[in-house]
Formats: sequence, structure tokens, C-alpha cells
Amino acid sequence: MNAKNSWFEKNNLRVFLLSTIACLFIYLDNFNQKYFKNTKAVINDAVAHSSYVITWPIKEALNVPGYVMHIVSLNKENEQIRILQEKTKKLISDNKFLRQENQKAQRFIQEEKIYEDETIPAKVILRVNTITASSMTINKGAGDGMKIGNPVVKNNNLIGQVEEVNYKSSRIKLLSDINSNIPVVIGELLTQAIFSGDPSSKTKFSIRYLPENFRLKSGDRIYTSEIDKILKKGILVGTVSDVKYDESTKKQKYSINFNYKLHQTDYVSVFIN
Amino acid sequence: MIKKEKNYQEFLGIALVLMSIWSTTLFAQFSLNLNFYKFFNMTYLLIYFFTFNNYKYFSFFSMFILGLITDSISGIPFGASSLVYMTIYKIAVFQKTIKLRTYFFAEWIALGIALFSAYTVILIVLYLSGTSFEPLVYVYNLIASFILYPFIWFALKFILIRLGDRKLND
Repeated sequence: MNAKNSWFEKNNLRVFLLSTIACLFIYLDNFNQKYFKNTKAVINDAVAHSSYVITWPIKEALNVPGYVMHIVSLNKENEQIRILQEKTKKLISDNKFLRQENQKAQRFIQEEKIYEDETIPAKVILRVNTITASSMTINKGAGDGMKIGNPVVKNNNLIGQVEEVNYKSSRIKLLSDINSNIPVVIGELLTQAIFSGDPSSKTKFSIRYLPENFRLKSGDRIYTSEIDKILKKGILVGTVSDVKYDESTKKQKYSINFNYKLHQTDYVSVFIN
Repeated sequence: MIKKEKNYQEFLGIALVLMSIWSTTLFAQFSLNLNFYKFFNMTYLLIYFFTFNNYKYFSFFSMFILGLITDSISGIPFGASSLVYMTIYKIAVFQKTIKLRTYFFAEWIALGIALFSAYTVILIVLYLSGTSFEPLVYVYNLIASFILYPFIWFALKFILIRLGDRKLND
């Protein structure tokens, strides 16, 4: 046989070897093999931090028009704040308003207190949104007490769960990820359901396994529930709004309001317990 | 001196592929809803184009490494993208060796086969690893990537010819 066409030719062997290694990696990754997991954690750390460093100048350069626009709009904002301040002064004199605000503030403080001493702040170093995944990478890892499944919050709203922990970084699976399924309770009756990521829908989310005749109401709050101790209970996920019921399809259409803008999220808090 | 300049231009191919991998994080910086990668996969197209046009640094090994970087960033099973990139690379190399003359239509059809093989591999890997996926999104992605290739081809050829002219003028 001609050596050039032989299966043992250097090039063919290289193809075979690399394809086998790739398949082996997939196999080991699926079975969470201990030594492979450690190697992968090191590679993930290196890629995450180097990607952050490499893309940082480009991100900053792309942000320049935004900064300029911000400076231009500062005067306008100043004027709006001045008008708001005057309005607030008038409202302060109203006793009813004060009482309501006081109640709101107390509720807010209580919500904040739940999370005190249990969370650690983390910086978002990478955001990824592809057809396969919707995730963020943060700069805290196993050494900081991160564990798989830890809930991640921003402005007291759940934004996702820790999916993968490396030594110096961790990946967060966002609520909009197709593989995200969060047990939740909705509304005053605390109706149980599953809050799932749904990239094919406009809202990017869907509430599944609701009781058959259950109707959502605008303003219903969605909190995490503690089914099988998967997740810490009582973390605010979002608020239901714009509920419309379609009689013909017997389906509810709704939006979910969140207390944050995900793409502007630079820092998050992670529950470490 | 001339040799050095040529190397710089050849580095362009691999640099563009790397940028397309990192661009997933750059787009997400501005809006997580604005996702161009939902409609097409630029990395696949660039790998095919530069391999077909015989660019330096495009080899099985570099495809393997680029795949690991992609998997590490996007969080899909390690090795999946490596397999996909190597599949595209192999088909591009095969098409390049059997072609008798420059004929864009044959190149485009081979790309269709490469994309189909690539998406089949990725879906098999995702299925075997128990990861949820939306098959329809992948079908749209495949079709859009295939349709987009002539435009990418034209743009890159135009840029590369211009760069070549500049080098000649220098």
C-alpha cells in the first residue's frame, strides 16, 4: 500500500487522535470525572479571565458613544431631578403619603434583611447569550465558598443559579436559559409552579405546571419555593404584569417585570449557604 | 520584510475567528435580547471561508483549541465545539482538494453539507449530555448561516483583495 494513502499517515493519525480526545472530553464532562473536572476548572478560569482582559478595551470603546450621550443628557436629568424634588417636598407634607412610604420602606428593609450576612458580592466578567446557553461568569470561585446551585440575586431579584464552579470564577445559569427550571410560588395564594427559561418566546420565560383554572393577575409577585430544598425559599423572582387571557386558545399572555437590567449588571450577590 | 507583512495578513483569519467567538460576550454587553447568534453562526462561516482559502494557522489542532475556548465561554460540554470545528475544517479541506477550478457554487454547496454535519454533531452531543435545546432554533440558524455565506464571502474577498492591493502598492 502506498504510504501516502495509508491510514497510518501522520495527518490521518492526528485527525483520529484529536477527534478521540474531543469525544473523550465530552464523555468525561458528562460523567463529572474528578480529575477532568479539576483540569476543566483551570481551563475555564484561564479562558474567563483572559477573555475579560482581551474584550475589556473593545467593550470600553463600544461604550464611548453611551458615555457621550450620558454627559449630554446630564443637564436634562438635572432639570428633571429638580422638578421631582419640588414634587417630593409637596408630597412630604401629605401625611397619608408618608405613612405609605414608611410601610414600603419597612417592607424593603425586611426584604433586604433576609439576605444580610448570607451573600457575597461578585463582579460579572463575562456575559454569554448563544443558542446553546444564556449565562454569566463571575469572579468568585470555589475558594470563596461558591457551590453549584447557589442562587444569585441583583436588587433582591433572583437572576439565576450557579451552574459551574471553578477555582477563581463561576458560571451562572440565567433564568432565561432553556435549561433553567426554578420552583416558584405565585400571588397571594402561593400557587406552586415552575419558572422556566424559554428562548423561543418573546418574554424569554414561561410559567409552567400552573393549576388548570388558575388565572394570573397583574401585580402578582413570584417567589422561589423550597421544593426538595433545591433552592432557598422566598427570593423574589419578578412581578407579573400585562396579563391577557385569550378565550380562543384558553391561554394566558403575560409579561414579567424584573427589578434590574441584566445587560447592565456589573455586580451581583451570591447566596453562599 | 515582505514575508513579515504576509504573515500579518494571514494572522487576520485566525484573529477574526477568535473575535467571532468573543463577540458573543460583546453583544451580550449591550443587550441580552439582541442576539445575532440566534440567527446565524459567524464562527462556522469564518472557519469554512479561511480554511477553504488556505489560510495559515488553520489546522486540526487550532480547531481543537478554538473549540475548547468556545465551550469554556458558552458552557456546553467540553469538546463539542472542537468536534464541530474539526468537521467543518475537514469538509472545507476535502472540498478544496477536489475542486478543479474556482467555482463558488460548489464551495457554497459544500458549506451546506459542512453546516448540516456541524449542527447534527452539536445536537447529538447536546442530546446525549441531557441538555435541553430548541431544535427549530438550530434549523433557522443553519438556514440563515447558509444564506448569509455569499454576503460574507463577498465582503471578505473585497477586504482581502483591498489589503492585497495595499501591500502591492507599498
